[in-house]
Amino acid sequence: MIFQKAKGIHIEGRKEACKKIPIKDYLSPKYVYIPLLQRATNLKAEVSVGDEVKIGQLVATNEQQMNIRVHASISGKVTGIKKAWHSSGKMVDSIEIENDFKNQLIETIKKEENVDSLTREQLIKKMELAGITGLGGAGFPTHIKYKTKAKIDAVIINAIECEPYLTCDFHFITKYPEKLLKGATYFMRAADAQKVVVAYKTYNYQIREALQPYLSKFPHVELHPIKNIYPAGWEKYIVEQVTKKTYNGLPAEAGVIVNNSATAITFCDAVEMNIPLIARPVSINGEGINHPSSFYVPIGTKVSELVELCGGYVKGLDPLKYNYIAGGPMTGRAIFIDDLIVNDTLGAVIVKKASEGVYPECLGCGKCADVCPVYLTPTEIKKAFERKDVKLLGDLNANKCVECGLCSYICPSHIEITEAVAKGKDLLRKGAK
Amino acid sequence: MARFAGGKAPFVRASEEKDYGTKVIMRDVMIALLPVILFSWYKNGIQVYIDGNIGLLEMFYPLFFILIGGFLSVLMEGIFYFVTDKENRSIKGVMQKLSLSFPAIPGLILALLLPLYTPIWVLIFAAFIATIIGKMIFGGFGHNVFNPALLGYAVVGFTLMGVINNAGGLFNASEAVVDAYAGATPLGKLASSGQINYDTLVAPYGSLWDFFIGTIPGALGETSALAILFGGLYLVIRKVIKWYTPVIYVGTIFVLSWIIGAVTGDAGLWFPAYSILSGGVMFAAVFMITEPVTTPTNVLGKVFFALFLGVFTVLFRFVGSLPEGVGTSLIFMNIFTLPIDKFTAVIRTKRFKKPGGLYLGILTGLLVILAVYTLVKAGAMYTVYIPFLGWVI
Amino acid sequence: MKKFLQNNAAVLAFSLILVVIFIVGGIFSRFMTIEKNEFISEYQAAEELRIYYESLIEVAGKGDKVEVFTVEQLAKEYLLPSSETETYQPILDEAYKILENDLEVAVVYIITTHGREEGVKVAYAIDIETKTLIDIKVLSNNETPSFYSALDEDFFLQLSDKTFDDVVFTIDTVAGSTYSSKAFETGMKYARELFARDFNFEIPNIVYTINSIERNYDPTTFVAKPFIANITYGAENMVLEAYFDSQYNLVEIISGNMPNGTYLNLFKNDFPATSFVDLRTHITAYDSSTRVITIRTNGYGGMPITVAFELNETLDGVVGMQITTTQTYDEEYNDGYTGAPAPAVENAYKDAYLADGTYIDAVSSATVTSNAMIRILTLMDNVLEAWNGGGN
Repeated sequence: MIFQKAKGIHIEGRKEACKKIPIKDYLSPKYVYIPLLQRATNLKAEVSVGDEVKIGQLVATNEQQMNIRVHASISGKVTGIKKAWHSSGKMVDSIEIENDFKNQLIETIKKEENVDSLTREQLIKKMELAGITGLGGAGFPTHIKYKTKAKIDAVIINAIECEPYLTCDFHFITKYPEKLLKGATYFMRAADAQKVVVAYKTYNYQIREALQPYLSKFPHVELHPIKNIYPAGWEKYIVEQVTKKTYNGLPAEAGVIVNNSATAITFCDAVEMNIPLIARPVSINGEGINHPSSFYVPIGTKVSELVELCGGYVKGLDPLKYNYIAGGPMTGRAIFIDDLIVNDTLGAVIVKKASEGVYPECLGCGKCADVCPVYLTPTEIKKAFERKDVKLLGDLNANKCVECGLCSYICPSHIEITEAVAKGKDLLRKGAK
Repeated sequence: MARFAGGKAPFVRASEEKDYGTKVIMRDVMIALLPVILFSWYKNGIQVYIDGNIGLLEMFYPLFFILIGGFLSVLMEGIFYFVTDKENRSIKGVMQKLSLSFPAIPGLILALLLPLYTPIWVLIFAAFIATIIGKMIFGGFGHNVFNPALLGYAVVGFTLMGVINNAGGLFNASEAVVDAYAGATPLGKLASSGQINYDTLVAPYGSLWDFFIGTIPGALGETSALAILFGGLYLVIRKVIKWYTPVIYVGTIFVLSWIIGAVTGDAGLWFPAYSILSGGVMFAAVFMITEPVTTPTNVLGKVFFALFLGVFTVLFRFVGSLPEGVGTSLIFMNIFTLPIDKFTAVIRTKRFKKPGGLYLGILTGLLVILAVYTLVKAGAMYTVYIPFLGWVI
Repeated sequence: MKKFLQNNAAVLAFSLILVVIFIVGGIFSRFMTIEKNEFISEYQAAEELRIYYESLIEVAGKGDKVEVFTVEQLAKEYLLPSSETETYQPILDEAYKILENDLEVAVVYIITTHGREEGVKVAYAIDIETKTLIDIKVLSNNETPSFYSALDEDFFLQLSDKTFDDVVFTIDTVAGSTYSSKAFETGMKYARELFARDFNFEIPNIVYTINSIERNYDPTTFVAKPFIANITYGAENMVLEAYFDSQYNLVEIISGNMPNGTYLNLFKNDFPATSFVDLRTHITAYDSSTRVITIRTNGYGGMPITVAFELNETLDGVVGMQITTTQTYDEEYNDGYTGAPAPAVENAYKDAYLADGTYIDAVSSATVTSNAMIRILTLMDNVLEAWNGGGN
């Protein structure tokens, strides 16, 4: 339908600076801060101050909600529960662990012997025990996805990373291509699916080159190139592109499960080595960084240490004129103090120039409605929100907004339209209750 | 540790790039106006000078007039900002506000809508109506309900047209002495004679090709479809306007005129072509109904707006006694921009589900009723097909 | 004051700019309007002139350019059509030269003459090379429409392609609008005079005098050649004596040489204007055996009256008269006539004449017929006198 032809737009990637430098391991920070918050869920600390912990030891849980499990990412001594800046934009209580640099592993971390004979239930259990969550940004516990009762035809590995500046997934995949394929295969088995589709951007042809040599070993894997547009990494978009089917709630309706590529690599380790989710790749990028690069770091690492490894901020940087963004530039949050810790959903920290200058009023060009991937009309939602017209917000499907940020991105008048729509979405949710 | 700036996602904005943003859009609109302005200058200044009918000084008058129109609206807005801003009254502040309110465009368009021999005081008055009443009183750029230039033009057109005609009207020195024009524009002839006849409507002005090129009498900017198409093409390529808004508008007028011509005058394809090439339809299609502030925002809204506008233009042309169907219908439709926006946004999201289907039905129904009424009334068809409707309608 | 200026400098500046635009722009736009109006009126005047010139070229039938030809009036008086004696001066209104490839090919005189009323304004286009009146165009007239409309196409055809070399430079007048016809004839003649003056054209100027015209009373010849005229003509004053027939054609030369056709036409044309003899009455037949002499004249409306006289044997008296008349005395003839029906008047003359050789007085309201009868009887008496008295 002509009036709904809106499938994203091309946004300049700005990844090249970071892509050139290979990913580095930074596995032994002096301190780590394990946040007692995961995806708006508060966790209960399982250790107390003074305890010695080993790598992979369970430190925090929330068994009531989706059985979230968080593990120590370094070995050492718990020195306190401290507030630290979290990528959600708030300061959260975190377990401070001081590294003893002995790298003691917990006993359960050992090579799994009979990987090939693991059943679906065993794989999902491993997933749950390892505390695997989506590393793409949503942080949704992965095992919940696999407990679906729907018939799953395929597992899609999202290797798209469509937001500008982000390169951690790219680096991670090109470094561990075989692990990716293995992890994906375990996912496939955990879902009783027949095939794996790796969706990647045509722009990142290096991913195809990295995976190509292993494809003969994994005949059930197919590569699916996707156009270089934003939001190509959006779950629904990938599913529509790959299966030509659409859905309303979960991808399982279309017979697929979508997982991030970094999740797949982590899951591979979890299955084969029983290593829980204790580390993840992070990009440090942006004009404010001297030598942008990506790191593979334990969860809880201070970002400031990574920034130092990148050569620090550019000379003469005026922090008040720069944004310190946790996450991708399209969906991330501005953090006021650069005291951020790496958590499971933090894929990148971007330091870039803040917007300044004054911009005109909305001129009603309608570009926001044109680019909206869910065919909303942001201007009208904004007006309805300003009038607190809950009924109209419902008529305008404000709850369907995925907060991709495209409307604000495209707005020629620099209006915070995404924020207004998000507020409208909240108002509708509250008003509907 | 350092304190960093705040902000809202997304942190990448197209508007921060150099060649994107509202300022660029407005600059593009001005660039698109350039061929129209130049053609107008050529037709009313250079060509007349080449004909030897005016002097060198007078040759620059059309350009002077258009530029002074743009300058006047800048000046008016500047004064308005200066006078209203009591706390922080400074030239710098005014300049900054002006840079965000794109004041030159209404003035330029206003000047292009007016006849060449409009006295300057009338232009000043029109610029005042356009910028102060039509734009600033509503809250400035982005808040105006009516197209400012059109409002200024309409007020002057309804009140001071006699003054303008006394001063020379819209015929330049070369056109004033052509007997075949008989002191009327093509559309004026249709309004006065009511006859659909090639010999009276088109032949005195040459052929339809002259209509397309623009060498017919008319207001400064409205005559040349060619120059307007150049501007429109640029705007479409630059993605400032949507191609279908003008196309639907012009198409609606074309189709309705075709039917009316076929029913009443047994006229061929020349009549719809004449209908879209006269009376500023092309200018409105490219520069006025695509003006983002005063027309609907979303795609479906633009489509409905253009359809309604096309029907109203034909209605006012044939049914009312107003020769300027375009301006009147556009001012009328400006009022309905907000509701159209709202309803079409609901239709867009809800499709045929409640209440989208209802709204769609209402809009389509209204449109069909209006179109049928226009055809029946303009074509005087009721006397042919449904006699008793003659005294109902 | 200083503070006020500081606070309001911008407003003042803006206002000043507005005022400047208002004044300068206003002057500019007013200037435009005035210039345009001037242009339009100039254009319209030029356009009218162009159309006028085009019409002149159309009259001339040739040429591509019109040039004003500045000439003086020519003093020349012409008879007023409505009068036998009063004269007037035609007015030369304008004169133009028609150029073709910058060569003068024709001249157009616009002359106002008198018809029934004054003010018959006509353009006369004259070909300079062939010295011909090419055509005329009536620009305006004040003639009575009913009379003027009698001037038909045939009349105006006389005025096209009329050579100026014609000695007899006249046109046939149209019955019913003689005066209007005369206006054109006068204008044509005046145009020729102007042309002669301006382009060294010589009007064919023929000098001659009709010295006398006498009747021929010789019974053997007077039917065929009723008049004997004595004429002095030509530059050398040649004298011609010759017989002319009843249509004033030269029939036989008595003395002198045969003049050329131009003269003959002139004679024919000018005979009626002389008053030597009564030219309207002729002897149409004479039979010496029966002694019957037939005399004819024109009565009312040019309708003939013929009388056959029977003479006595000594040929010195009339014994009988046989009248053939076409006079009708009808309504057209004369409203006032109340006498007996035709041919009562003729018969009254006959009776009186046969009785005692006298002519009765003209019958009231039938004077034309009466005069005609008197002319016939006078001629008869003259014939008898010539035969019997005087000469013998």
